[in-house]
Amino acid sequence: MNHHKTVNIIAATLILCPIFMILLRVYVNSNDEDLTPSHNYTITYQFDLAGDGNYKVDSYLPVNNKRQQIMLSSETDSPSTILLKGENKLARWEGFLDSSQHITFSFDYSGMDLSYQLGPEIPKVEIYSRLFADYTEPTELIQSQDERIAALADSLAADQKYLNDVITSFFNYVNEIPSAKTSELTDAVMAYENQKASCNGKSRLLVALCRNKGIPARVTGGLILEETTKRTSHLWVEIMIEGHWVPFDALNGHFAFLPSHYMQLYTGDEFLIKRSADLEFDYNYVIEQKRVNNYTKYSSFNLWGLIDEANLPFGMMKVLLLLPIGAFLVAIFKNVVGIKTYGVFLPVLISLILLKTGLVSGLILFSSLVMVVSLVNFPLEKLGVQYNAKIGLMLIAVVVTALLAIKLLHQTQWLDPTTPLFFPIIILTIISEKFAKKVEEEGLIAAVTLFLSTALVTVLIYFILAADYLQHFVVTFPESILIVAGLSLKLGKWLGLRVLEYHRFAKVLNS
Amino acid sequence: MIKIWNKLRSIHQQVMGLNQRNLELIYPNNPKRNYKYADDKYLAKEILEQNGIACPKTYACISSVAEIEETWNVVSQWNELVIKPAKGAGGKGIMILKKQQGLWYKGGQVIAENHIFTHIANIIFGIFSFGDNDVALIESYVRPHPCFKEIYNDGVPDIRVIVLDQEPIMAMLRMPTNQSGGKANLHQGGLGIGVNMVNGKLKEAYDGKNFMKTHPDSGNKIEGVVLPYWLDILTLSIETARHFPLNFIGVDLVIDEHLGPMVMEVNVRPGLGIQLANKQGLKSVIKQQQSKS
Repeated sequence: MNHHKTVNIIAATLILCPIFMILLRVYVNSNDEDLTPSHNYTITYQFDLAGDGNYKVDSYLPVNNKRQQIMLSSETDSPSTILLKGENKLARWEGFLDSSQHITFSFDYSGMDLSYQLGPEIPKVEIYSRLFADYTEPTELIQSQDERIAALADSLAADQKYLNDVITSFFNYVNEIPSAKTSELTDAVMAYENQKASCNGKSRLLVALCRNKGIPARVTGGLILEETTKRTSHLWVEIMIEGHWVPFDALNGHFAFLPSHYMQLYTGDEFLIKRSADLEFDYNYVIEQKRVNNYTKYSSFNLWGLIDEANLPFGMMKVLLLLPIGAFLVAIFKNVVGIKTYGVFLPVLISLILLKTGLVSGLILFSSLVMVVSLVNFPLEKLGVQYNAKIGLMLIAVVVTALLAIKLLHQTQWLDPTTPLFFPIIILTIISEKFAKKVEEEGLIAAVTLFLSTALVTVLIYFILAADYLQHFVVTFPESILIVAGLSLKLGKWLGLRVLEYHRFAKVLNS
Repeated sequence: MIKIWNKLRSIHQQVMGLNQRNLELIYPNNPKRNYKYADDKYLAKEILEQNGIACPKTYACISSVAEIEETWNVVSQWNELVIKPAKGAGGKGIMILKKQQGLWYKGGQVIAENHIFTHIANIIFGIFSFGDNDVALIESYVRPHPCFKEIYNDGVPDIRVIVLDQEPIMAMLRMPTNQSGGKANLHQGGLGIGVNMVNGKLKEAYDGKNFMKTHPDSGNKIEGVVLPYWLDILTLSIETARHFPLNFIGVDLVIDEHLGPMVMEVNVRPGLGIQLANKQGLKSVIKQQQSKS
């Protein structure tokens, strides 16, 4: 009657076959591949020159090392010369300019996280300050002997017996200085005096503090790689600890850690681009994320290959595969935990959108849109407007609110003004109506409680779906969708009490 | 630790949760295509009346706006009546009207005939039933049995009997409070009062948080009061279950002052709060029922 056996057999097949396939693929591919998802990007330098005469553009190229590998692309404007300057590789494009010139230079990058575990009691060793004397001297922008810097360094390093404690104290101080959005040149003293700094000010201040105490330190620069076109480079710090240049980023809070998508271009307090003056000059860094299938053998459905060949947007393919997982998670929250939400798919859809808009700002924007639009429901209900027409009117309210939000965001620069458009208009309409109806039938508290539990489920699902590992996993092993199908089938026959029902019905036992 | 574990285990053994209710009681017993006989009060009424099961008398059904005025002229001969949407849920759209000296009153205030017509039109347009066109039912008004006034003198209390395979297995009386504003719904602050299936004696009342022996507003005794017509209520529930093509239902009944118990509604998805009102799990009750048969 309940088809228990049939369901169990189908579910077991759906779960076990893909697991077998995945294990097989991991096994046969294990010799040549690594499970860790490395970050691969194609970076293109674009320089636009205009004017007449000789031109010269200098820029740094990344160096191959243990954590980053560079592959030059073949179809590209190779630099005229490549100079080795210390640890850096300087590329120079030069020639005669006749009205305008467009230079593109691209290469592939793949990188890994670099992380150091600092021991608890690292002694302060004099020898390094002599070995790396250059990195303990003050410079024009890193005024390590300035008395304000010296006073700050003294107070922060007071009572710190070990090197790691001194560095931690410096790092925390600089990290807590409020961030500034400007890319203006800021030196160490300015960063300290203004108590506001961007990456370059913070990095110089941290280096100055270290140098003041005789700890060799230097700034280093590069690009934070993300799927975008950008003009801003990034500066961070390397401190000499027991013979290693250990990375610190006091703007983004990376302590002895360099994320894989930080491409290092040069060390030292340099500028990424130098060019001959008296030319009109513009530049861009175009960054595209590349992902590679590491498990091609026995791959019944090579999605990475398909994405490459058909030029499919990775973002959309990712959503396609994450959607079922999200829906399954909602079902778990509802049927196993017993958390109620507005609609079955709403939390999944919203969490997938939050992946694009950012968690906090997206959630605030979504909630405010819903609250504003739901207010329209009350007068309509009072006037006795029929349901279909009411939904139409609320849709108009969504459109008007979205337009106003776009204008407001454009003026305040709080978020990208297109953000409201990421939320499907229909979803906003339906949820606003449901919310308003709940307020009317069960009161504001019940409606808000349900909204909050929906938001809670949304956020939890967001964190699961945002995991890089999971995204890579489902695209690498699309057969895992069948596992989700098997688990969903089992869940569809789940008889147990929901977790929250234990609480609700606890009083049944009181007799 | 072990105590908590044991408690959780006994809840698990006795209480029916939503998952199990859906999978083991509703899906196998109530075919989806037959839901309409319960969800649509017009169809439900037809079955009840055809089989001579006591229920409020239907004065008229109005399914198109053009009929409103003509039908109203016929039904307005009655002094009390109830207008309700056939597919409404949760008591929405129900209007109780009383006539005094040629004027219609709604909740103590005069209401113009035009407003009554608008309300009927709204029902037909589907305002109370998710946009589907609907039918307005006009029925006789039920005057609650005086025994209820002795507990609390407002609103219409009703009795929910859960019937599985034509056997009543659990029942509760739902009683309004000041907070619930005349409505007997548990969500709206009404009381759920368990009923002893053997003799119709009331158990303690549950208000969603606490159990109590008396009515919180009137202070009158609840526990121990015996519901009148208890055997008739059980018989009516069984009769109803016999004539509906649904095997797991909640039958909602009221007791009229003169006419005795009558069936108001049939529910295909009876809620589980009744277990709290009875301090008894449905799972253990069904187990007992099965071991008897």
